[in-house]
Amino acid sequence: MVKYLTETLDFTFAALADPTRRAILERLSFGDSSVTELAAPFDVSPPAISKQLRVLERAGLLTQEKDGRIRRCRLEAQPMKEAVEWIAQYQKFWEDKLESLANFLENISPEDSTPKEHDSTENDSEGRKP
Amino acid sequence: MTQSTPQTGISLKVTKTIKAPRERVFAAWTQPELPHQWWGAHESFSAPIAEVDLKVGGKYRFGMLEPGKDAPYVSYGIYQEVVEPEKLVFTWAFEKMPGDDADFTPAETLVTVEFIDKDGATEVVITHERFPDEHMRDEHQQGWDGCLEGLDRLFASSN
Repeated sequence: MVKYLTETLDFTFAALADPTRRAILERLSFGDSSVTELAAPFDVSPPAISKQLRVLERAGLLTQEKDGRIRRCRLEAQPMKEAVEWIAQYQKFWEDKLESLANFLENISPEDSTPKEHDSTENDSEGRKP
Repeated sequence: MTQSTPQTGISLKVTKTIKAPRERVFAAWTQPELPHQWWGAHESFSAPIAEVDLKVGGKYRFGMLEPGKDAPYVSYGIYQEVVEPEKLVFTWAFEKMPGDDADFTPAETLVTVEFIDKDGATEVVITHERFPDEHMRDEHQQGWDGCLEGLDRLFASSN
């Protein structure tokens, strides 16, 4: 099971590690699409788009079926769910850290408010950066 | 290049009878000014590039432009056999495009086009071999169907 999951995650993250493939998945999240429609926004050669679709297919993120002469592609979201679950394990880590930070901020005495203000100023300026 | 191409045995064959003598149909493939008028995977495509060096070892480049796109899909290859007006055999690959991965090299495949006389009309038989996978084969099948429909329209309109 662990090995199976590791392999699935390998394929999923490898498939997602490309802007064209992510854009294809985004397009498919709005509904099924023909290969021609999927290729339309990109300046890629027909064999290159085929290769991208194969990578997504191998990762189980996409299925194709023939509708007459047209191939239609469909998003299969299950492997992404497993990826999200893997990432979600780290949510506890972040939540714990944030809780520590909250505790720390609460325990700062009211007179000693300088670091607090300094922090928020810094955050603000960070936020304004483009 | 060919030695690294796996011989998969995945191939296609498309056939269409064109209402014109085979000398003229052969010319539509081989006289550089003519492919502009019919080449393309779909009726809506235009054909801005057609270069033909018609001899064994000579190179060709055919480009088809999809509506709304900036760059054409350019296929190219080398003529392996030229038997006027019966047969053309040429290698076939797509040129790299701006959005392709830097390390992506499309597989080289092989196309045979036969022009068979059918009582003054011409049966065009396209055999396309050595596809790396079935998906690419299916895409080409659709593309060749579109091309042959274009060829049919060319002669339907000129007759």
